[in-house]
Amino acid sequence: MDNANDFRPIRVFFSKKGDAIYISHLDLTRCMQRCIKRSGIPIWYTQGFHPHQYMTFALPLALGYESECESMDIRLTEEMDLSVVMELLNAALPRDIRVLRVTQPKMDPKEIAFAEYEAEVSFACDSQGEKFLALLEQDQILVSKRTKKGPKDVDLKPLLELLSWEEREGALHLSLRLPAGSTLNLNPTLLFDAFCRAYQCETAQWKVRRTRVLTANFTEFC
Amino acid sequence: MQNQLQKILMKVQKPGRYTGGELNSVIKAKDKVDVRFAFCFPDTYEVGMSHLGMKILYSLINERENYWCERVFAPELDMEEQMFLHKIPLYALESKDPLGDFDIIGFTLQYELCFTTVLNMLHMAGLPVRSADRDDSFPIVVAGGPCACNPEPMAAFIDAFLLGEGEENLMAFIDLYHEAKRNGTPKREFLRQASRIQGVYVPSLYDVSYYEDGAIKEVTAREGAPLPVEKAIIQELDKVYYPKEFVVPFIDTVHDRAMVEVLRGCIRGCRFCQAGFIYRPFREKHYETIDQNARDLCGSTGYEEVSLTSLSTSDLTEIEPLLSSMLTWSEEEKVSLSLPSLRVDNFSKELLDKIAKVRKSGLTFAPEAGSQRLRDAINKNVTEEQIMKTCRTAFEGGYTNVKLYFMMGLPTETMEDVAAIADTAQRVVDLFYSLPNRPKGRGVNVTISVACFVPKPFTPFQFEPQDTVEMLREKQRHLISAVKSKKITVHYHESDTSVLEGVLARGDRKLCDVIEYAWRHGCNLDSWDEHFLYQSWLDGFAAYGIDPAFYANRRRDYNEIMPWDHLDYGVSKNFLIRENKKAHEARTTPNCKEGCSGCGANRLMGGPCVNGQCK
Repeated sequence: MDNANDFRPIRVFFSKKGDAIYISHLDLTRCMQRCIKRSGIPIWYTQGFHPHQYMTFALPLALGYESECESMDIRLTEEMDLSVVMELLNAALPRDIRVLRVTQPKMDPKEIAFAEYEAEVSFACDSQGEKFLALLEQDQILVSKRTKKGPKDVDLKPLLELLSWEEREGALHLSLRLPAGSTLNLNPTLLFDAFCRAYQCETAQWKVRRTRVLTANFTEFC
Repeated sequence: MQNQLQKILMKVQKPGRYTGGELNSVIKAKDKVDVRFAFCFPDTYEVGMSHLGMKILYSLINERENYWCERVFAPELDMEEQMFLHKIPLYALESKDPLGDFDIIGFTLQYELCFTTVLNMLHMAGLPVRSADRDDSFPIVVAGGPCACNPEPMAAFIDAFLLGEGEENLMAFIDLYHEAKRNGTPKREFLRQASRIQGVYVPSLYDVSYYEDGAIKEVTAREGAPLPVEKAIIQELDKVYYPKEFVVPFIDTVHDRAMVEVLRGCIRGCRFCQAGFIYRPFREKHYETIDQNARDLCGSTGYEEVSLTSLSTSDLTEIEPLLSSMLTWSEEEKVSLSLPSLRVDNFSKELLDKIAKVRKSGLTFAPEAGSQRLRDAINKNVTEEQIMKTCRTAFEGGYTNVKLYFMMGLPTETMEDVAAIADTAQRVVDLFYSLPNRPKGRGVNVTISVACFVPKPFTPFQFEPQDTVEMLREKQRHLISAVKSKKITVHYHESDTSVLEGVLARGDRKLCDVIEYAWRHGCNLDSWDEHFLYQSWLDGFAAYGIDPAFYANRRRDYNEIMPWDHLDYGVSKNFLIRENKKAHEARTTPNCKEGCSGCGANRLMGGPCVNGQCK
């Protein structure tokens, strides 16, 4: 009776914007637990000595990023209309986190392979547009990625897909696709780091928004 | 402001501290609000968001549609630097408006080492730090909290101090301000009127004169201001306002849980404890009220832990019915109860069982002193037998970690008393291994945490000299050498900060200059070891020809006028003198429930307090 599989899994898609982008993943987990508690949704608790709400996130979001395609999975102990779940959650959540839809999970989070981002960045240097193009023309774009085993060099060149870019109002506006998921996850800010390293400058300001989470054949995670 | 902030937030540690937008934070329309109040906590967000008083007053002010209370905390140094670079003044989290836009700026003074942070926050907001330099165009600056019981070292910076409990007098103060604002009353006249509200102390209406040796000769009031100034007090605690909602922080704070205040004051009268005297008399809430408060808060916040807070929660008369009634819903709703401030002498097996039902963690007890003689001198009415009995109950209940709190540098303390701390811990370890039914397969761990005693105003020890740094260090070494077991861990605190705390706690107005000097020479967030700049303080004392030992290490005569003698916190000076004499004779005083000792605080209630037999 206490087996997780006996309870109905649901997937909650939500956006994270405004002040909420400064909530780290760990803090988001705690925030969600409290909101679910407040909402009164019949969530399933893990069994054992310290029962806690069962909750997993498909693809944790980096601190400072906006997103309109976050998702978390929870399980319900009682039947409840999914539109009611959405309503209750939205009433309990802080204003900058909004539930967009609640669904039956169709895919396994392991299927996630890519994510797409809109980024806006300006660097403290001259002619950043030309420099940016020159950076992309290099044979290699080496960046240092932090991993559990320490920093690791990764070549962004073959992994990065620049979907579009333009320079306006002093900032580069980029649309990017990068590997995502549990095997290799690369954030757009790595590209900014590469720029800074190549041209010895700092970012003046940046904004990143995750827009889509995709599987290996580019279908949207659902 | 929002755009400016975006530029810097990703450059600082834990940006979630500076954004606001948390659950239950209150946003109002600026044009529909008559009075804007900035509640400032002069420490970091994590510390300030753990403070219950701020939560109560925040909700209370915001209950009024036309008043808006917002929160402000001290930025860490990385944020301060970024704010300086981008010319962002200190702002309130809700509206992100600079503090200069507010009507009233209120600080809570929880500990003496926050004084420079108050100055720094005023400065970051673009305000001159001294009251005398702020004309009518600047907000009114007020301060309350426990350190307001001797506000003299901050007298030059704060327009008005709110003494005692704020629920009623802060609202009266804001109401009067509202009226003054409508009528265009000048600040000076407003402050004169405000000084008539119970618990409002306007330092600029009082003159202090000194003898040549630096002691106070006389304090006089001007313009009809009251003398003494009596603290504000809530008569019926059971009916006092309690918030139904707390702001729920996104980031992890020191105490991130629901908290319900169960009682105010303390019956115990431990002679070192300022809180035990300045919050007198003892008043309790009924268990139904507390239970309802807890349910409301858990419902509105989603917290899964609720703490029953007070100076001594096990002294709550209705503790057993309270726990029984809370356990009817808390287990079901997966809410755990925590009871800080338990006493070792009334910690029953039943109580332990009820707590253990929900969660098992370490236990903390505070014998405060190692020897019985010294425990009697400080009136910590706890015997070694009780300590051992409680530890036995805990061990038999499955606990293996026990934390014991002690103080060092207590009046009349000898090296034997210091060694007795280690002996007590050793006997707790021995007790564990003597129990046939001790938790199996696990060793015991006894942590002794030793704080340096700082004599505080309104306590029987207000007359006592504080140990010098050299004496404290010697005692620390002595304690370490007396600990023989690896099962005992010793923690102790830095003694330089204790000495400074001692100077500020019993300081007078002459210290205003030193505080400003220290702040101008880099002091800020002094309670954080990594920020503490003792040398700047020492330079400040030297610059103004002040000997810190005059404040910290000097014994005062009973008839010396203390810097806080013109403030009335209920307990009489005669009572404090009687208690001081008994301390030197190692004689104890019964707690308020056993019998009234005539402290005088019942006068504030206009009748008897705890047991109906007050003198």
